Amino acid sequence: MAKLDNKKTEKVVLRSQGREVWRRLTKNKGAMLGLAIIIILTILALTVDLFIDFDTQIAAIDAKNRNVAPCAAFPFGTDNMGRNLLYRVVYGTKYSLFIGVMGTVFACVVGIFLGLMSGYYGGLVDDIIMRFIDIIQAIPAIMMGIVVVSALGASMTNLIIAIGIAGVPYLTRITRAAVLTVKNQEYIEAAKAVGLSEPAIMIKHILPNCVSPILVAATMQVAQVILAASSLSFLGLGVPVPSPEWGSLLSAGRSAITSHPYLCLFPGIAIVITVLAFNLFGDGFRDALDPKLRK
Amino acid sequence: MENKNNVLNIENLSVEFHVDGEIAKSVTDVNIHLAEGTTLGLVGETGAGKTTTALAALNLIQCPPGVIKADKVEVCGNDMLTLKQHELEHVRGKDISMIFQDPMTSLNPVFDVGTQIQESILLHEKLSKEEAWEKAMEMLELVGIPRERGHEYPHQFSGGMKQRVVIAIALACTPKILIADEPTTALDVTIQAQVLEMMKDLRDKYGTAMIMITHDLGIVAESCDYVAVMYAGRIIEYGTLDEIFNNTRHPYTEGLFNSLPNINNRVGKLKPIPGMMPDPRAIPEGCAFADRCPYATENCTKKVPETLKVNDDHTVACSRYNEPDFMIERSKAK
Amino acid sequence: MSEALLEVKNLQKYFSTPCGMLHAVDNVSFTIEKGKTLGVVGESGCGKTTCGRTILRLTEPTGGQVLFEGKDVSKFKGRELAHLRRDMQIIFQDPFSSLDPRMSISQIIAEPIKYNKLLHSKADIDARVLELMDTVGLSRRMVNSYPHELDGGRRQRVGIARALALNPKFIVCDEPVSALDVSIQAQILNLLDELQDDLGLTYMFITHDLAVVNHFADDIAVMYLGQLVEKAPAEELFENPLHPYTKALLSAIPVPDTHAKNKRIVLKGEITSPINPGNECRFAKRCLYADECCHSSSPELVEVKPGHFVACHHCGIANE
Repeated sequence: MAKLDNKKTEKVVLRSQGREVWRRLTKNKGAMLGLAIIIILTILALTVDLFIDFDTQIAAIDAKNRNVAPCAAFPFGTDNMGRNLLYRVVYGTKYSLFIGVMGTVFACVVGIFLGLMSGYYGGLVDDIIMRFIDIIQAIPAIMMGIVVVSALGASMTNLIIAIGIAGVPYLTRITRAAVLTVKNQEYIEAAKAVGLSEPAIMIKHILPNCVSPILVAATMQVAQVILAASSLSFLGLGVPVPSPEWGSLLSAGRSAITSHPYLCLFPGIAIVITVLAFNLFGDGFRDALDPKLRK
Repeated sequence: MENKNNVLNIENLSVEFHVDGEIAKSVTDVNIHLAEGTTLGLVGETGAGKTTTALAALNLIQCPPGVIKADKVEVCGNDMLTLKQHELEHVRGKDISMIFQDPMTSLNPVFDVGTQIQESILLHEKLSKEEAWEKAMEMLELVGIPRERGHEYPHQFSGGMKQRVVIAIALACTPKILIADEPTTALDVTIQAQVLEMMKDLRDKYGTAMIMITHDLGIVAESCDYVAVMYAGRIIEYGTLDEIFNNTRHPYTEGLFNSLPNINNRVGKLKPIPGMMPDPRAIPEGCAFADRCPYATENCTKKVPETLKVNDDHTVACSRYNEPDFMIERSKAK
Repeated sequence: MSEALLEVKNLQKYFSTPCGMLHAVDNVSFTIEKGKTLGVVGESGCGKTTCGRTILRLTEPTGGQVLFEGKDVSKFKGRELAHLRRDMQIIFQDPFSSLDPRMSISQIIAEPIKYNKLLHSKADIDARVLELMDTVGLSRRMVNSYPHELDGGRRQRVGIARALALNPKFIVCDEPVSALDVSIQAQILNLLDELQDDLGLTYMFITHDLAVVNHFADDIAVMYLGQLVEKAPAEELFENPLHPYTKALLSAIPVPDTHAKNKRIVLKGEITSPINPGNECRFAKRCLYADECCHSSSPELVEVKPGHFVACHHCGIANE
């Protein structure tokens, strides 16, 4: 009776999880579109120095062609110093994408770690971490940025750290909440019973089951980070001035938004496309990881 | 079994759920007639359609995705399927009431229990607040909770006590029919005994007709007059308690009895029913039980068995019942 | 007389709550012989689950000893504890939450093998997974399925396969069938029974359903609010229960037989709080036979007949 639905002759193939996830991801058109955009942007960011010359095409001022509206010669128009906006937006990918991704990665790594610790261990650890998070959150992000950058010096790395820290509380809270619901499930105890160590349980069982809210939060974070970087650049604490980072392009164009709206439009579109790509990919990735959604 | 004293008449009830282009046949051609003061046990495994049948009787099924088809669903003379929303609300609670399985989630944690009973009384009876409170306190005492505890909140009660409060709410307007959906599954055995005993007393006192939905044949043996065994959405055997237990005719009912560990015989090996109930989205042709049935023949998979009369108190839906030599093991032994 | 595989001595587990110490398991002692089954019966909150988990060291005991094959495992750490995990396993009650929803069946069953490095090559592990699936009666084509695609009975089989993966000697079955339908219940009980015969397993079978333990256990221990109130061979306990609580419990089982007319003992009164209990019999408030003596001192577990232990001041009276 126990060998109820047992057919020993059946041939079975054990599928690996990575391949399974990839297979499901490739079926999701939105995710693949997002991934394609991310790859293109990455390639662009890495190779932009090969075809755009910083000194002549980005930083050089051209007094004859100030504030030219988009036309055949300048598809995106020029700014108030006569610089070609197309080059600036394309070149800006190098900074913005890097800041956006690295800032998010920093916030995620720190936030997920803290959230895991505080959710899993609870008690005193939880209290200490959460009060620490409260303190960070009580400081306005700009203030934090100013403090970090002026303490460590203005550079891209420090900018990323400053913005990353501002994102940590949000990710910590999201992770902690997810961990709390997962850690009392019996499969966690089952994993303990078969002898898994605590780090192994956290990585193999708790994190994968918390991944949905974390991925959603992380993709939102990319947009937040790019925009936050612009405010710091605006204050002169981020990327040095002539460098055309998207956020700073946007804030530079903001003063002329009524007379020359294209100055905001194109960097804005660039940010939207990037954020959209990350959102599409993030959603698709989350669905691909969830076995309940497979058909 | 049609009778003027019937408080509940359900005829040819079918309930389907249309989800994602698939049709799940949850209940098919169910007939239930319930006379005043009698208790019907609705027995079956998870997914057999017991709860759906009960919800259909109260017209509480979400449509869509649900689709209810029936010749008649009548509660105390009210046709539940044609009543308007506000009329339905009047019938529910007043004429027919339901107790759900989990007492932990059926009570609102921010109101004290007295208020929750009072609220149900105020909805259906023209009483002042004070009178309704007084009646609520009487109901509490009736279910064995001292009235002093009326001002306490659900979290201050144990599971058994909470289930009593739920029963008090359900009975507050002395409904004609009480549907209890696994009322004691979440409770401990000794507490279960207390609650069942109390429900029996209340039935004797008010003449309430009850439908007891359960998977525990022990509870059925103790508290029901009639038994309906459901499988894959159909009632496959229906009859008086004595007929079903001592004159079993359907192989599935037999299988249920064999699966139970017998408290008086600890040596015998359990005889489980092999396999499992079919998915309601893909119920096989013919008899739904055929592929698990030890007596099944080829014929069984061809035609849905008709409901056949064993005697006045007993019907069975088995294709082989009419074969002259056919007899299931359980009946042979008797 | 065969040797004792597991010996529990004065096991204690207290939880601190805002209101005081909750005595979940209080001075529980018993032994289980090799190849036998001890049924532990009691109502929700009586500490039976905590007892099982404390033995497995899933929670740390507050006091007492757990001797497994003669060694006190309650102080094991690190590698010793990891080895202990191979010998002692658990099957959980809820087949819906005890399997990680993100892992396929093969991953769930393979996890203990991989983690404990019992086998190394992928081919060996895969073969072992399939072998285990055969053992518990799971069709091989489900190997890539995920838990949500299976029904309760099959999920429970996966849980059993995972527990068997390490070739344990002792398994704590924590209400393994109470979440399942009757017909499936019987399938799983029979499977556990066969596994015990084939693999020489020893079980601690925790349940609230007396009918199930009666069928399954060699010895039965009845727990009430953290304490062991009665322990006897199964037959003896059913035929000759001594503790008033055991009697009430036995009489409360609904019997699926229209001819059975049992006198039911309906308990009254409030349940004693397990938080900071005083020096009294914990059942006294609900007991029909309680007198002053019961309210002023806690009864000891004494052997009244060979193998039959009971903790009651009045088991003589209750017997009449």
